[in-house]
Amino acid sequence: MTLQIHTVKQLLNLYYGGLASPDDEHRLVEYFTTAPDIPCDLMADRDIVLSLARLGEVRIPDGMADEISTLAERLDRQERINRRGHRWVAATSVAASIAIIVSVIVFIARSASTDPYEITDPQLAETEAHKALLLVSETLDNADGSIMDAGRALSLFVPYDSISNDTIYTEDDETI
Amino acid sequence: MKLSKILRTLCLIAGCTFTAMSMNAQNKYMKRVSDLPGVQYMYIDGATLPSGGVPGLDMGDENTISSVEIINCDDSTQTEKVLEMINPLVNELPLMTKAKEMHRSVDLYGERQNGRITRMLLLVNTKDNDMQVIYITGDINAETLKAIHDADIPK
Repeated sequence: MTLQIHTVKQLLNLYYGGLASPDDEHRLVEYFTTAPDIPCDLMADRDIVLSLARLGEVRIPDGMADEISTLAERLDRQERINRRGHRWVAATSVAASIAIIVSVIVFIARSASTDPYEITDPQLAETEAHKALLLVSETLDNADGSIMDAGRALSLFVPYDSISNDTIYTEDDETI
Repeated sequence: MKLSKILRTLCLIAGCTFTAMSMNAQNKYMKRVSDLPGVQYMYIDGATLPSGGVPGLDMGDENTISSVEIINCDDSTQTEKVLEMINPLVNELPLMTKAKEMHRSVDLYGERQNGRITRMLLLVNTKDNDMQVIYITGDINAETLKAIHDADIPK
């Protein structure tokens, strides 16, 4: 019996799809071993079919089916956990993005509205800042003067050389 | 990039943006006083000041002013309230000097590190119960600050 090339290709399709019956497999093996002129494009298929045929019947170990279904279940569970994790990550990403957008909008709105208490005129700002600094400076300077006066007053009661500036402290314990 | 890495980056950006947005240059205690009647509040951002500095204080790498806040209270009935409202800020800073003169008392609080002042609060109370509060933030050399007064005295 000589098979048509077309039939061989159909059988090969079934074979590779795992749908070939033992009889189909037998027909293929017989064709590849007896046919005198096998087309070049079927040479690779011939090698595969004959090699697998030489292996003989594959013995499936007992309990293999159970192991496969356990593995399938485990993979399925893993997949479900991953999907749940991805959902959480996606939700948090959306929340973070919303937070960024809201913050930027608030910032723009804040920048647009001017603070009624803020002095924006540089001239006035300079004058007011100078007045403020002058007052602070005067206070610091007066404090220095008072400490010097205190030092001089103390020197009237104790020998002068026993008083050094190092022994005079302000309230924040910083040496003047 | 993995999804979790993207999420981490997004959360970090969101956190930083939120922190930056919630940060306010004005001190919250000082700003709160502005709501009181009879109280004048002024805020000067350091960026508004001339880049060369104010008279007597050259600004640049050596000295910087981040902000100046001023409260003037002419209403003697509000003085206690102002003091009460800025009390948490006063408690944050150590007292540097306290002086009582004929017509006024002056308290200076400040943060001082290695001869540099980073924050200072000046409380001036007059005999008429008027009050002035000045809060300055920045990084100023204490000696330079003292010299402003000397430079202002006409020779």
